[in-house]
Amino acid sequence: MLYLQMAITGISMGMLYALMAMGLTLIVKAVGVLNFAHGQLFMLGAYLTWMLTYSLNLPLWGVIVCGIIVFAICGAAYMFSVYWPLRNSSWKVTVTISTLGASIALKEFVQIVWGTIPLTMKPIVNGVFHFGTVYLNYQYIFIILIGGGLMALVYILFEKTFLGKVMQATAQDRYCAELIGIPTIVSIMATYMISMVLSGTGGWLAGPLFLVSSSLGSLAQKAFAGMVLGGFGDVKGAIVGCLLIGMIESFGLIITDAYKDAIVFAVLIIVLVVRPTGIFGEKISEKA
Amino acid sequence: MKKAISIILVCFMIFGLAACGNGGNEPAEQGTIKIAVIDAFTGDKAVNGQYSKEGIELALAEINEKGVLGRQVELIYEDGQGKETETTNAYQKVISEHELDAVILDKYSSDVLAVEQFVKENGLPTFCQGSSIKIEASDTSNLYSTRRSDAGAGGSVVAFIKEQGLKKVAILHSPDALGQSMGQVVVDGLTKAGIEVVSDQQFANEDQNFTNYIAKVLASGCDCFVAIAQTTHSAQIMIAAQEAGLSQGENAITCIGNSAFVQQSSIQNALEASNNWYACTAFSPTISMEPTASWIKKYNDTYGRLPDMTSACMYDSLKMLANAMETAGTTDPAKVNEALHAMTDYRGVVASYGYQGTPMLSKAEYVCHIEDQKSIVLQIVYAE
Amino acid sequence: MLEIKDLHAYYGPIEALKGINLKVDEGAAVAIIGANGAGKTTLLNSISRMVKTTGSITWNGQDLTVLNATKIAKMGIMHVPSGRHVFPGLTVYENLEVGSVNWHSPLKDGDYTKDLEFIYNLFPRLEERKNQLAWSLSGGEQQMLAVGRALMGRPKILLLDEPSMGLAPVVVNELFEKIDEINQQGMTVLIVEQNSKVALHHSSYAYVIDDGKITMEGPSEELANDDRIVEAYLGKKRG
Repeated sequence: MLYLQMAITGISMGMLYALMAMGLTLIVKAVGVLNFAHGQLFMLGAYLTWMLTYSLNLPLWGVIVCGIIVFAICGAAYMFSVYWPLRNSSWKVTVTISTLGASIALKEFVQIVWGTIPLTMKPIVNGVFHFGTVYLNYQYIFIILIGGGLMALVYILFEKTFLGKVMQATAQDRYCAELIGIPTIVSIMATYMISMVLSGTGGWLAGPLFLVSSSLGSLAQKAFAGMVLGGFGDVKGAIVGCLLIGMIESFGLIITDAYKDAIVFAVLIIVLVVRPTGIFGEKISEKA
Repeated sequence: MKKAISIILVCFMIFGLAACGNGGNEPAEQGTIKIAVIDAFTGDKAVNGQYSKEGIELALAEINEKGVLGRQVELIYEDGQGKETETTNAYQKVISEHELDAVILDKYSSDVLAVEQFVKENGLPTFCQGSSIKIEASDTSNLYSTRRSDAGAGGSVVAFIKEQGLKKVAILHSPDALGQSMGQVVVDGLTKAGIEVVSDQQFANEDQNFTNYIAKVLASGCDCFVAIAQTTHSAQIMIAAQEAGLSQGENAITCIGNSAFVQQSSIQNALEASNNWYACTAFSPTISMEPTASWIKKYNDTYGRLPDMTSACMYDSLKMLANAMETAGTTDPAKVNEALHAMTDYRGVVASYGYQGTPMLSKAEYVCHIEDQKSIVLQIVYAE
Repeated sequence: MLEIKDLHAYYGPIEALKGINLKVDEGAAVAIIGANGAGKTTLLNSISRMVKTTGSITWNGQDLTVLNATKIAKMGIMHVPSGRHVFPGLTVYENLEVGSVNWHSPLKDGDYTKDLEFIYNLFPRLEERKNQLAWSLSGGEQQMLAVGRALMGRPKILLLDEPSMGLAPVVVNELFEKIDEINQQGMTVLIVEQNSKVALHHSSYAYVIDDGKITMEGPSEELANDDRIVEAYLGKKRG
């Protein structure tokens, strides 16, 4: 029964990581930059939805609708401040450093606006689901459902719609996309917006479980690990990798407590040694 | 054009550097008494810095009404972020930039131990709020703590467990100096008392989700759960324990925490999950004894919320320093340290303080029980 | 008709084009030949507005220099860049589909039947491989895909940058025959090439560009027989 408990916790945590990793992978594919502030966007999502719920006292559907709009605006604002001014810099690493700065700025910004004391957020449905000795906060189930649903929507967007193909094209070759008439700035902005909606929703789902504080962003570490494990640059890989990381982290606790993080990273190293491109790898190889 | 701008910028630089250089050369006896305060003002533990600042500013206002030896006290804040490297950097910075009369450090024992050798070197009277047994064992005679050591707190926990007749104990502790030293004291004490330690887990600093740790505690078949953590994690541990039916409900067992568990921010975040927990602490925001209760009311009136233990400790630190300087009649570090060593019974907001041969000055500790999200004092434990 | 007058182009402080004058009549096939680094790609980038310029570029009288790349494509000016540049992670069909972006309505599904019919007739291999990912195509197939994708945009003029690069001679001939076919159906074509022989053979008028300037121009047949060209660009010894 302990194992069932750990499996469910593992999948839920994996879902949270996957929401972050999916957004992160989209940005990597769209602009070729690793967004080091991604955990902080997750954290910002928690704070913003807290504000919508408790400062503005909106009902649940209000929080969801306004939340998506607010996230989209934040995503665009983030892109224009952190990425856009530096996009043509001669050093590729400039934007990465800019995201590092953004992560520090965001962390302190939330403390200035909302104070240093962690905030409490109530779960969507209060209560715990009991099944034998397995107990699971209902929120975990919502995470799996809402997280999964959101990911499915994004998948459909990218794989099945014309707009999605256009965004993929922009991500794969921006110069060429410009030439055939794709307004790449719109496409990149849309990518950032979608990314923020994914992470922000993750933050909203995680808030009731973990308290809304400036350290909420540290979950991104495991999201990065999941991305690498599943194949860097592949959205499907990011999701699978993160679910695996969630499970490994959960079950690692059976063997050891203090070193469970070490187990996660040990597994990561072993997988990378055996298969350097991660489980799903990069499908595209260079043709001469 | 470009050249002109460069020259102007260089001139500004030179001006700026020259202006900086003149800052710290005030003669020491005239002017303000300078006391440095190092705590976490940014970063993950910034909530602690906020409480510390609020507490110490109350003391500052009271002290500066009359001043000390006819002079005003000035506090110089430096951000240590609650991390050892940052605290060390902050310490070095503030020591080198100002002529200080005293230093007040934060409550994180790891930070205090990181700068211990420097404290010893410069001899300034230095207060901290750390409780590690390593601080207690330190031979740095100018270092003082407003707390009892974890040995004491740990001992109180063991005594309480013995008293309650509990047989199997599961422990969960934080990875820092607090968690490890107090955890060790509890394990040793229980073992000596013939009580079985069925599980001993250490969590990681970044951990946010305690469900699995609690699941292991449940699976261990214990009748008592001891948790040792800072306020950054205590609320979540309480929430996870409640969800598992560990601390409340028909299968509840005795749950005991360290001081962090009864602090205001912790209870505020855990809400009903905090009920039924016991804790061993030097301070709790709902104590009804004087002079603590009046001070808590004053804090609440000033800031609109209840204080954290660190607020009270910081308040006492500054007050004791001011008192020692008045007694010594000077701010000369050697004389102030002498006065502090001679202190036997100073009644502060947290406890009675007196020098007992080690840096630990506090003589009080309580065992509390949380009912209705308020901590009720059950027992008062004194140092011998 | 495309007309360029006194065009200067800059990459930062470097002047890559130093006063270009040229004209492409409607329905014509014009070639621009020159050595590596002469400014051929820069010239096309100037027309598609990917590089800063001074001077005038007009299309049927309309000033192009005030527009951005998206608007240029919408006007029917399609630049097929050198190096093939297909979208590697999309299939052949998806690549073509994306090419219709400048006339595709964002909400409805596009009606590509006529366009696809034309393109598949021209390049039957693309139809064979229509569900294959573009990165796995051969060099020649990728070049055809790039041209096909440009055609999906329903252009009025095709700007082709070094279509022969990296392709085997047989493939190059096949490709240029297809370009002829497209041109004969009324499409204006401007080809920029390092392979002067093939370019001159498949165009009616040609310009020679050297170090950012036009050094010669004239009907392609004449240039092909001109001694200077022959020695400098066609690799034959004089006399």
